[in-house]
Amino acid sequence: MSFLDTHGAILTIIVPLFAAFLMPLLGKLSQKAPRFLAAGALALSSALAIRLAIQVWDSGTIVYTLGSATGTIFRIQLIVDGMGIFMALIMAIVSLAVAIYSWSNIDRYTGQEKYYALLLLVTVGSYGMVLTGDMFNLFVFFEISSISLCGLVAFRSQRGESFEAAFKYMLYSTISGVMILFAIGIFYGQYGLLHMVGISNAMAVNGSTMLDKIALGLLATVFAMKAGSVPMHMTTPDAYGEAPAGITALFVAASQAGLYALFRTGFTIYSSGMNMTTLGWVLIVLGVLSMFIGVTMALVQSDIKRLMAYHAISQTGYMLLGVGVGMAVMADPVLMAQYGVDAMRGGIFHIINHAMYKGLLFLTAGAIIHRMGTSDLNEMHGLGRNMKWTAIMFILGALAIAGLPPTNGFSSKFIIYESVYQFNPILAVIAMLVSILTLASFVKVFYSAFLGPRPSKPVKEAPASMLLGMGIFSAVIVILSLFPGFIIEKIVDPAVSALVPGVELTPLSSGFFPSTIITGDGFWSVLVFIGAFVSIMIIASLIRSMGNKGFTKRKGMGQPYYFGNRVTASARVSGGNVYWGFLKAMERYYKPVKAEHTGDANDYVAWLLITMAVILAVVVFL
Amino acid sequence: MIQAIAVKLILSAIVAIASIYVGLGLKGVDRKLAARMQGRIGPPLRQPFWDVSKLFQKENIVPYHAVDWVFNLMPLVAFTSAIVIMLYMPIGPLKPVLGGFGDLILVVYLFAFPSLAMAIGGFSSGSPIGAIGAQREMVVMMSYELPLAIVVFSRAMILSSGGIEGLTLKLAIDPWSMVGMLGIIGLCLLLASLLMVIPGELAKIPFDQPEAETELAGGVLAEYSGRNMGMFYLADAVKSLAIASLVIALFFPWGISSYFSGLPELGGYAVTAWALDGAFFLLKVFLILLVSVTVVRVVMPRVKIDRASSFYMFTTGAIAAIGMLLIYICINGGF
Amino acid sequence: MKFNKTFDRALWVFHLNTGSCNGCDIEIVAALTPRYDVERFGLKLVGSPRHADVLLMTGPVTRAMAPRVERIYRQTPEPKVVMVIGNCGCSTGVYYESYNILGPIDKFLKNIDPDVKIIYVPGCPPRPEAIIDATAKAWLVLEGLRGDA
Repeated sequence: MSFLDTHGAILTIIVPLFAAFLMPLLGKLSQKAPRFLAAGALALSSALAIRLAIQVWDSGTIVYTLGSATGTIFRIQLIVDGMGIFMALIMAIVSLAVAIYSWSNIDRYTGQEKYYALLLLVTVGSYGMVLTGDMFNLFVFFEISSISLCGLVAFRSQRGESFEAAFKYMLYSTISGVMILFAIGIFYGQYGLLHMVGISNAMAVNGSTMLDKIALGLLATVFAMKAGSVPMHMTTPDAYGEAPAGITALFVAASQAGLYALFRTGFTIYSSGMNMTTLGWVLIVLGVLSMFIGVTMALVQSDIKRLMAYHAISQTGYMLLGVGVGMAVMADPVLMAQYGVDAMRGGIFHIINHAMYKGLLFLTAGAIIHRMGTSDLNEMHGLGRNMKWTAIMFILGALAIAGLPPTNGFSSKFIIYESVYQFNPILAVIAMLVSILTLASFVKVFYSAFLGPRPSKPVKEAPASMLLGMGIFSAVIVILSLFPGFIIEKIVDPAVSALVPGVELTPLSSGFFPSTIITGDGFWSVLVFIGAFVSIMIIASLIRSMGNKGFTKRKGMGQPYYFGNRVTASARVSGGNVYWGFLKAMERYYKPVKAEHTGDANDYVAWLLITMAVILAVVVFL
Repeated sequence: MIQAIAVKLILSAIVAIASIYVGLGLKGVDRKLAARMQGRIGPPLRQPFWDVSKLFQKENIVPYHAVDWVFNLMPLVAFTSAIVIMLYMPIGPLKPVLGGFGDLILVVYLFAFPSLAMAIGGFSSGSPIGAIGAQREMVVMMSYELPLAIVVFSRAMILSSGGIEGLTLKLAIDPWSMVGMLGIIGLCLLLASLLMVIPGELAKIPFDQPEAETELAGGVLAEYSGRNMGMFYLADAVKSLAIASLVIALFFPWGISSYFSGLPELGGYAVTAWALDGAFFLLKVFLILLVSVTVVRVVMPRVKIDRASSFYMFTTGAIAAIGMLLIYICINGGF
Repeated sequence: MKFNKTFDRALWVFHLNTGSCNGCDIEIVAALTPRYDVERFGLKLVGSPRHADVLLMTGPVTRAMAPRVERIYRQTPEPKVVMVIGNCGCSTGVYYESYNILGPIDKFLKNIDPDVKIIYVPGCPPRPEAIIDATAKAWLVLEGLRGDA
């Protein structure tokens, strides 16, 4: 076993950590050097993560011990199994793309070495959260990533709102940290252990006590908050909206580390001692609320990054729904084989899909803001002529998030629908409705940013490093879209078996076409769809070419028809005002929901505590 | 392998051309019947063919403020996706051309593509009228998705309770025989809500706010002319055929050739049976479009966009939800 | 496709009121009603001049409408025919040499486009049968444009 084989796990965490500590020194040397160090360190750690992934898929779970080799005290273990490495892979891709993207994104700011140092620390925090096997270690890395993210949210310090958003995020993170510490105290007090598997074994002996259930309620609420689920989602739009665009993409991946922690708590620690149906239902309810409230609030936003942040909340709902259904039927092997496993596969596949396309969308939003100078949808127009690459990548991301075939968003949503409707068809109906609302919302953003009259001063295409960062995400999305069955077998199935050990996984893709997905209930093949679409497109172009091709240019023929009048600037339907009909029809829903999003930090904390109380009551007494 | 792909390509081309002709024919029949209902004579049955031919002879103007690559791409996408729907849909007795490679969820999402292409085309035309029409198209699409999703998943529930893959379109499965009395009432409610969704899907009165001709000067298609407009016209024709085929595939998948015996065959293929089933299929398509598009179009006025949205989400959604509830009770209660 | 005779079977009409008293407009709409029914000839009323082949103009061109008529005329794709309905459009009718009128439609349009093809339907207002007869004349004009005549 080579050095990298034995120490790969810890190196993935240490490399960015050392680079982060070197960063301020490098910043004193030159302005430009930090970005290369950051990119280099993250490239190295991404490579290590991928190597670790291959190792785990080939030889099974890796356990790496820091400290004494025996005994349970003075020892921290890193346990890298399928689920952990899945999340680490996501972090690998996202962090590298963001580091490259940030070269141009924050070029005009000073204090860049601080930015890169905090970026590396967020990566360290997320890698640590997903690779560790010890509860207190999880808490430490949770705090590292939260504090670094607070700093990064406030990075654009010329805007007052950045500080306000950072403060609110810090408020939430601190309360969450205290609650996690309390739960860890419960574990330590009862069992004298902080090791996840150890706690799980100890709970299996006597069943879980009331104190354990209290700890479960606290942990579930806190980790769901980090992932951004309703009704604890209040700081998410603020924080995502105010952070620089690259950081928001990283934020998405870091939030999913919170989702990972939630699943780890539910499946690994608690499933040995108690029936998980109640927690499964809690996750399902949170998921449905997040999906629906997230997307309906997104429809009324007029700021591009806040809109996308609400969509991040909504997509988190899909993941909670899928895995929640799996958790709810975990105890019943028949139902689990019928649809529970597929639901979990869909939910977990959605995690990587979401990180990729949401990251891409945030990066394109950053490119638009960079060139246009504003993030208000009402003020930007007409970028589709000059920013063609950005527009194409935005279209890819928007199709993926809406779940339109043949993108990877469709594949994961397909699996979620096919399995969730057997559990309860109402959930699948809401999921499908949310998908179309997502599509409508992104058509609105596309119209505001890329279509419309020419901008008043000419804009150029986004800078090369931004395009490279976005290109990394696009390439991964294309790979995930073309070969979903293969990816699920290689990457998602190990994660599912890590969470629910001993479950049988029927193969998902049929032999020749590695891009077909066959669940127990339906079938979908990407390559055939793309082939059919392209060949019919060729036929359509042939038909169209039978028509009269062009027009002789005459004066005045290209002006839009506006009942004979000239189209002035005020005649344009601005992006924030579309979909009036829908908003009017849903007035009775929107009034209370919009009123609840007050922007007041006190209300935010109140929501968090109320939800915590409700979940505690449900988990402890039901 | 190559032979299978070639066969599928030829079949796809045949389905494409046939859908265009049948779709335009249905449009002609619809205009003639609407005219007769209004006491007029109406255009001849071949009128839509002449309409398309005329559109292809006109100049194709790309407006100055339009983003031209999007503007020119959208008619192609609309037409292509409408034809691709027909490839995944069972046509009469024939199994779908791409049967094993996509199921009902794919078809429901594919139905969103032509409307989406029209909406983006309208947005990209650089005209405020186009933008208003386009956002109305998106609102109508958002609103009818709820009853459509309920219908799809209710049918899936029925099929999966009988042990068949719930979302398949490959097999002609008759849902009426799989449920009891309450279930039949539920299926009727679902059928009613799906028929109510059809005018919204096709942007016909009373839900043609996106294409409002008298109110909004053509709405989504205001800036399109010439062959781009012709492609949208063809896409609309094929979409009518596609949505009627969906209703038939979900609710009325029977053929009539099984009631006749001793039909002549040609070279081992039951050609006469296919022709008979095909004619029956066309008759069913015509009846569905008669009830849900033609009669409704002549009788009703256009409604305001927020009324349309709340009608779809709350009224039609409620009807479909009650249908789903009845079917759920029927399946789990065993009536 | 090349410009051929199926063009005549599906003419789409856009109605433009350049300042008339609405009498001719009423007759145009009457032509679409069941009694006269021009739809059986393939004519359809469309909402946008971009879709139109025939521009039905009524009324003399008032000063306020003049730039709008020009814009709409230019925005209509070729090949197109202008049908002037009513005495006011053909020769300014009762508004002869009024201070607000820029002249009959043909004088106005010939300044914009010297090759404009105009069909005159006089009358105050002309009967719907005259409008239907004008359709047949439009076919003759289109034949001339094609070079088949």
